[in-house]
Amino acid sequence: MKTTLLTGFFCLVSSWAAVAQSVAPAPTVGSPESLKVVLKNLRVPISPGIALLDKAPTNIERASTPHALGVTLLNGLQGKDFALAVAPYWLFNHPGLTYAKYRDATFANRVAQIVRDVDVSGAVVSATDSTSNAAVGLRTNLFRIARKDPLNATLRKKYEAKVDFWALEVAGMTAADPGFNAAKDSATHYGDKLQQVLVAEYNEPAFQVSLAGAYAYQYPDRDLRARKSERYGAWLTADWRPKRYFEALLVARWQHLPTAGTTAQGEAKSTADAVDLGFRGGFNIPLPGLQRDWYLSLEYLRRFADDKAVAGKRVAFVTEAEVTDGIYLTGTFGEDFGPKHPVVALLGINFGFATQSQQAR
Amino acid sequence: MKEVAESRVVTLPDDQPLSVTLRIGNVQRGGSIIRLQRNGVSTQLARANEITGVIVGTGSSLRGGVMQVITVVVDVNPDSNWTNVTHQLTAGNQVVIREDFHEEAPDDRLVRYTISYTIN
Repeated sequence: MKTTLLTGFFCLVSSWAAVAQSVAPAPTVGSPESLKVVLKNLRVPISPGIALLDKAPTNIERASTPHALGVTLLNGLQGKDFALAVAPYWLFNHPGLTYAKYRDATFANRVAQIVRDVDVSGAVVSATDSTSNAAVGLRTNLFRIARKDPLNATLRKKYEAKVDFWALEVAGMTAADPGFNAAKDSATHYGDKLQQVLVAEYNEPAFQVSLAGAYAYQYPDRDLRARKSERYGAWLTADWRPKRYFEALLVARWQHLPTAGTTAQGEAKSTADAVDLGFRGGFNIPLPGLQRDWYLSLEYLRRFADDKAVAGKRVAFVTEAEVTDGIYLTGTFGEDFGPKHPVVALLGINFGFATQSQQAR
Repeated sequence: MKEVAESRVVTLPDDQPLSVTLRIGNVQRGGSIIRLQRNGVSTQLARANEITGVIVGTGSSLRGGVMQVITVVVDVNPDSNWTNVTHQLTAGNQVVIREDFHEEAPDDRLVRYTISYTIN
């Protein structure tokens, strides 16, 4: 029953990068210059093991049972490129975790939720004919407060009652009884509805702190032992959305990357470390009659790096509006990193070709 | 809808009340019906979404019959397709049976567990 929009997420990220790179000189892959991203891309990625790769896979398999995981891994080993995301906790049967217990707001349950939310992601992507990139990552939510949404709560209670009613009806019938198929269809229908409400409730918390880490490397000639160009990183995000139209985001990211840069003393160096600390406050303004939002935000990002060319701060005003399905008009205006504080003025169109990822069952 | 059917034999003392607790795990929802079939007659003993410590009779009143526990689980958990029903039968203070039954939900989200206990 589990579907994801991971591929769409990566398309959006990739297309944003494409817009930015079409205006600015394209940075060398793996250099600290390639760290030049807008603040929203510093948010804890859904699949950090995949986000750390230069080239995102076109499809990410999501396995929700041990059998599906086995099938996905076998298929992956036969192919060239492969990406997988899995929540280990949910691979297994949990007899004692009732619906009521899961929703219990006790401290013990909140701690257990950290384990339940752990997501492991990994990918192998061809970089050239003879070289591949591999990555693995881990992500979880350290703390979350659900949004108190009266409409959502009303819908949830309504669908819970419907599911309970139709489950009992089906339990009391046999296949020969008139109305059996209709009762089954109703149970399925309200199960769908309840799950949609639960997903919406989960995806839009009022407050959430997320943590992730990932490790990636390149290996030539399909020899996993011959690792080179290692990179690793960690993300921490605190996201506060008291209302749907307002969001405040605090982010911290550390990355270690291979580089062809130089130190402040002019010496050649093979790796670079960069720490980003940032804040963003933004508004979603509903566009009357269009059922779309206009997004406005102000962001501040401070970068600490051993390469002075990319260290510094960035202050930017960002705007984004969905002009039609999947097509966004975006703009960024402000001051960028670097010793000369260059002015940034970007305007572009962002194409998000969102498709659902496959799920192995 | 996936069907799971199992049968067990239970020996009960005469004078102790038999209580039944059913627990649906994996953050799923559902409902259960308990019936007693004896001498060709079917009697409904309980019908509820949550059955906790429900007394269905004594050893002497149930003996010779088949207690059928039917639970339909609806997969509503966005994170898992697993469904599980834990049965606990207690005679007085003694746990007679405690067992988990589990199955993955199919695309229509429904799993029906029919567990039959022959009472001795």
